[in-house]
Amino acid sequence: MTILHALSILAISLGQAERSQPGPGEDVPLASPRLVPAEKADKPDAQPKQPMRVKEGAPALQLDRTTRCFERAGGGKWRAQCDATTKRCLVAPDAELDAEGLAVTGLDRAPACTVPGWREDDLVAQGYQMIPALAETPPGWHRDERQRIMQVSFDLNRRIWLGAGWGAGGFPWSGQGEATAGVRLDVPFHLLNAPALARIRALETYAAFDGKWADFTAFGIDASRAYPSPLFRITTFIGKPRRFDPPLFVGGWLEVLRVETFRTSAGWFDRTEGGAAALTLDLWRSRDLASFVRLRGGAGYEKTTQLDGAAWVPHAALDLDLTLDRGGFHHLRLTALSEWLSTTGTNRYQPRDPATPRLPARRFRETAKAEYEIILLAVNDQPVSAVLDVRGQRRNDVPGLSDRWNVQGTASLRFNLWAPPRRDAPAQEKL
Amino acid sequence: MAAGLSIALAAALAGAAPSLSPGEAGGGPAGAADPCVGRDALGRAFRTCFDPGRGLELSYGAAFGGDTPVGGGASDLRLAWRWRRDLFSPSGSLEWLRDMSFLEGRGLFTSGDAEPRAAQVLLWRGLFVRHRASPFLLVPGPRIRLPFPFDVGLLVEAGGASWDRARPREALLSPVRSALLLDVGGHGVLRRLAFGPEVAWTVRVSNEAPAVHGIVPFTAGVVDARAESRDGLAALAFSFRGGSSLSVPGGAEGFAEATLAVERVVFAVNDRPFALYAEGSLRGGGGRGRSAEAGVGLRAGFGR
Repeated sequence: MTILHALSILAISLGQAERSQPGPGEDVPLASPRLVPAEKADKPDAQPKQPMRVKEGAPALQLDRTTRCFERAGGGKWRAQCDATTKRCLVAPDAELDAEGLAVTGLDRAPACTVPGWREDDLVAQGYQMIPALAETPPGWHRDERQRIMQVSFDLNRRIWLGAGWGAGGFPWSGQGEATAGVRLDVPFHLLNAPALARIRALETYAAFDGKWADFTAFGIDASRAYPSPLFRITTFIGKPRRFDPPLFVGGWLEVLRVETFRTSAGWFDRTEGGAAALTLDLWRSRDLASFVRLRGGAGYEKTTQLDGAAWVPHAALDLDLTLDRGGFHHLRLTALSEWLSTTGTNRYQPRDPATPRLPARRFRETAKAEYEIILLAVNDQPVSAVLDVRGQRRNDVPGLSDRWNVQGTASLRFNLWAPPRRDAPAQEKL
Repeated sequence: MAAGLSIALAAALAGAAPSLSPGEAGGGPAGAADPCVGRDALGRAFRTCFDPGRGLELSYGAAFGGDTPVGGGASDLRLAWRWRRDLFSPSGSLEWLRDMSFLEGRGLFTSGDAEPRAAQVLLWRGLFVRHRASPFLLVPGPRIRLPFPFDVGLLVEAGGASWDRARPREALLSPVRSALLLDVGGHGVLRRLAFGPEVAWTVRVSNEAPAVHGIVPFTAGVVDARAESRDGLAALAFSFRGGSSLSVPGGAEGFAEATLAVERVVFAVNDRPFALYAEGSLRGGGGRGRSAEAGVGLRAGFGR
């Protein structure tokens, strides 16, 4: 026996064969299939005598087990995972197939099968059963009956998007098309031995097609952490002692450079928020921290081109971001935000133009936005989504804009680039 | 002065070149014959391949044209830090083409006294193309898979600004420009042949007048093509933007601009390539009238 054979058998024993559950102290010897030095077929056009179609319901090979190249008497390129305990081999074509079941190209997103491989005749002689199967598929991907791979889980919290839509409502810029673009990036990390998640937003842009409204945020980040122990807990002693862990998960929120510019009956209003920071309190969040219901409180600093001075702007908000299904196709987002302007400067943040009516001393902005996003289709694994949103705002900090509620509904389409599979996406188990 | 500064910087950076051993240049296994490493009669190694999409790029040349800011000729100094890392699937097939550049800058100066004529800066440009050997469109629910003829991608530019001495108290800011790309390039020597609609937002700020916003709400198109020789010694790039931009206040106006650029590495110092480049561009509309410009110069690449 060569060293190569010995190593291969050792690899099977250690890594591939699923061990049965032995009793305490019991050492169960595993019978290994005999390895033969079958070279991996390197002819992509090597065709079998029979088509290699994968049948509906066929099990899939597993990515965490060793897959060996497999020779069959009928020819063709195959890959297999054999279990010495159950004497079963899952055997899948080692190629993408055409409609007739013939190999057309190599497998995408599957590691190359290991050599030396196995021969079917040898294993059958040892009593192994051959089970037709589907090749390995990474989590979040799906192989069809021709073994072509496609992404079926999308993480819209990791994407660059570009979109366009139409809005109708009561804002001065409503009734126009709207373009939108932005970057989202969720970055999991560990903080003090606990999992945490940073949610990054960058270059978020909304602009009306008629050029009379644009809202741009250069950068925003918030981070939350899965606390291994609660910040405080309550024990009650009425009846049987009971412990309650209030869901108090504190995090941080930061926004840098937001520009809001639009035109009202009094002219242009160009507001620049240099930055804002806040503390967040998660009332609920998903295990992966991607979905949450959150309270937010903090303050920012802003200036407006048409106003003298500046303002500190404390704010309080309720944020909700929910991914409604495991595949990441349905998303619900909601924000309710109240801002109160604390003006500074000799002119107390009033219009520079004396002809413009003065703004009230106590100024506020109240904003509500609800958004539902659904993935409609994917082009080359890049999802195209539809977004329906309703925005409402009441504010008295803008000359020429009514301080009553303005509401707009918008429907848009977004092309999303990247959007890899969700971090908790399952692997395909069968066809 | 600018020329002297660029040459000094180039010499300093080139002087810090690491020693080269076989196998380093192409990322191949040590000891294997590396097609990117040549050897002379004495067995001394030198690099013969470069990646024009990576590293710090410093260019110095001359620009010519009949209009400002290059009228009568101007010195042209450019800087860019480029980043390229394509991604492959575990089976080795190309999945993503990723090109980025950070802090692209260009300054035009009057030759001789180095008086600045114009300046441009772009903080970030990203160009990402998702490649599939067999592109398709998937309806996820019923998992209907339909053939699709293009690779898809996005171009994103952020943080652009330009200034021209002809309007010294004015600057054009370009917070965001993005284009959806459909690519038919094939990604061999022809790395990219893409086209698509563009969305952009610009703001013209001035000390003397209110800001003028410019919006391109998918009313313009982009064509972007780039070919590179396999050894990276030669590159050819073509880009076109054209369509309608909406100025507020103002109105819709057409614009078009096209640039053709060619580059050829002619020598290397300590395995740092130096290339000759030539470039021509045409612009029209956008409130500036028509202009044509041509330029030639020398480009040094560090980290290619």
